[in-house]
Amino acid sequence: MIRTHRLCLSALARALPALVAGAWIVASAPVPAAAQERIPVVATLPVLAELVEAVGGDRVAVTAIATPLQDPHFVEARPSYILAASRARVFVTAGMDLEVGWEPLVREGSRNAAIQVGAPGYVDASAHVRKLGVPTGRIDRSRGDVHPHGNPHYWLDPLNAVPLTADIALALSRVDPANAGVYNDRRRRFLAELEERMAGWRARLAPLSGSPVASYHESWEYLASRFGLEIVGTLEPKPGIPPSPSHLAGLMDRMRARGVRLILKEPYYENDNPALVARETGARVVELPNQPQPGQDYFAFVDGLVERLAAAGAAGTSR
Amino acid sequence: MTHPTTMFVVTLLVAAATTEARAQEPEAAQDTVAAGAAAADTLESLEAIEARLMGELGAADSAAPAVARAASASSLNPDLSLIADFLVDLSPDEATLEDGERYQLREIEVGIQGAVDPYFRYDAFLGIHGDAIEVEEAYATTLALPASLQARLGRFLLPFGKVNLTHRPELPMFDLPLAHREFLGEEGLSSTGLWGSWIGAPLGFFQELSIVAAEGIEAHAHEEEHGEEEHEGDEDEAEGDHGGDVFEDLGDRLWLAHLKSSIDLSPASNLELGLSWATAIVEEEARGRVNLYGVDVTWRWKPPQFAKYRSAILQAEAIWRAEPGPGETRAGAFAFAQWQLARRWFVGARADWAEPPEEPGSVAGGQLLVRWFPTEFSQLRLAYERQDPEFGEALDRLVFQTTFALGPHRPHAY
Repeated sequence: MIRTHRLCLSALARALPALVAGAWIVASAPVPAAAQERIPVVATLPVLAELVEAVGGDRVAVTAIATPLQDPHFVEARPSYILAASRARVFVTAGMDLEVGWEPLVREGSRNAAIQVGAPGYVDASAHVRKLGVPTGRIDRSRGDVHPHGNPHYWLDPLNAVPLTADIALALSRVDPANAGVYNDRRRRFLAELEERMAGWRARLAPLSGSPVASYHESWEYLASRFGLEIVGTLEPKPGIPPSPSHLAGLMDRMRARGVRLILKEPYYENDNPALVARETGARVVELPNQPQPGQDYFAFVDGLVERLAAAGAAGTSR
Repeated sequence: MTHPTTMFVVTLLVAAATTEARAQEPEAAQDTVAAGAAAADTLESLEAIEARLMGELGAADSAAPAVARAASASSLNPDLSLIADFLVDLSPDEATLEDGERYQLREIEVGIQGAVDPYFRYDAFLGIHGDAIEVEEAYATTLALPASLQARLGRFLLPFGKVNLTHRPELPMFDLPLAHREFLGEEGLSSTGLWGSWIGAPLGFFQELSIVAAEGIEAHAHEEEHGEEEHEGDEDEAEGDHGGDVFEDLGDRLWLAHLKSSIDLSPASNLELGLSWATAIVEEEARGRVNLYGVDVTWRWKPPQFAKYRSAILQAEAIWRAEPGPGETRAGAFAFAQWQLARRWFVGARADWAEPPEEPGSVAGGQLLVRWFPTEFSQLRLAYERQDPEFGEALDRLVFQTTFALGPHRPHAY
């Protein structure tokens, strides 16, 4: 008994330097931002960061985790992201299992109770958006990388920015109630501009309405459904499964039969297969980033998508 | 109260009390939100614009309520996942797996994971080997401690270096490096205890400091080692007592400290450095303290735009074991490189070296491997391994391995 006692004491003595060091580091950790400072917000995707910026303006300091050219499915949970999340008061995630491979590690790893699911600072941006491709019936992974909650690329329907910004404004107001009026007013201006721009985007894409198109991945359904494009097939045989020769042959037959002129793809997919399909069918590859590029706000981002599509469509039909 | 574990628990309780106090704040905040929202209602134009745009957006998919129902029905079940690890020994001379098997279902790993309540999550991993079920890990993790602190309570893989935290079926290689097998055990170093950690950036980049107080290591890793040993030892006495006995038969407490630093060098690359120290009392000829020291370095490269098609990893770890008293220090190390050839293809190579405890000389070796991932949930891997002891005959093995993952397996730490 005495021996054990002495042993524990000696263990404690040996561990003491580490404990003291730990206590010192904890004490020197940055204190939470004072109320008058900007609200630190972490968003998983650049597009969500731009929408937070639109609502929060100079009341928020927003950081996006994924970079503009990254596939949001394949981001790694770097410790620096965990650190950013640990300091955030609001955390905005796209949800619908889009970031299932990394978002839980970043959020839970942050040890930040204020941004956990159900906490005032947690925003699942998909909560009230209009969803497409919600699977019905039994699903399993033999169907590829299916998302049980539906197609998660919902921010590519510009009108989904309405419920998206509603949830963002609500969270900012919960965390910073003193400025709730500011957030609501900024959102009002944002929506007014969205309505105006929407009319312009519709007009610009009117010539493409009803056009059949192909895409690399099932990621352009929202944009297509909003502006009346019809997606007749994807280069991927199933979501997340790389193109195979037999699948591409079938797709090219369908594209020829339907007179498909455009193949939509994100810059983060390989170019070889889209180029092959384009060559064989006479269609044109349109590279569309699915996130705002550096310096683009949400409107400039959608402007860019619409412009590229419209230009490619015009070039395609004039041939 | 001088008991170190007691101190740990007290720290936990104090921290929990602090969290309780903080938890009151959000409710007050919500009340004020209501006030803010009421003020916003007077801005009729927001309502009007929103109503018009929402009308244009269209009703949410009719399927949406179905999803909500599905979520509520399943969300109270923990996530259940399974990883099956199957080996085929293709070695030219004779089988090198345990008991001379050519085909081996090395492990079925069942993971049961989920949130307990707002304060804890629980993760349990059961390893089924043949007719034995073993609790590989089973621990609660705190979710709501203040000051970037976190505690784990239960049984877990110890944060000694980086590779030791990975379950064997999920390693980039088909087994642990030789140094780990010799110094930490065939399936790595795990124990039951308390793990407290803190994250922060006192130097401007991510650091995590972990302190673990745990039981000495049970003998299971050692016993399992014997199966292989009998086989390998048949013809080669020098192969002898193969690892696994790190802190064996140790009734006394094990202390471990680990400092992890992670630096983003660019959007594409990251450098991780780790320092580990473990110490415990062993009873050998005389009672004495054994110290284990470890250094680990990992460099990762993955260009953001082409993350699906290209990546590289360079990794190295070194482990030293200092015997009690005037006993000698034995060392081991490995270096690993992996290159992603294409979306689903990876090649890798590992160089191994170790001075097995209680054996003369050293063992050098290495592994070459090719991995093919049909999807992220299945993997086929071919590995060639050579172990060449200083005194004794070399061992060559060619192993084909498949791993299959079912269920919503939680992603791995970076």
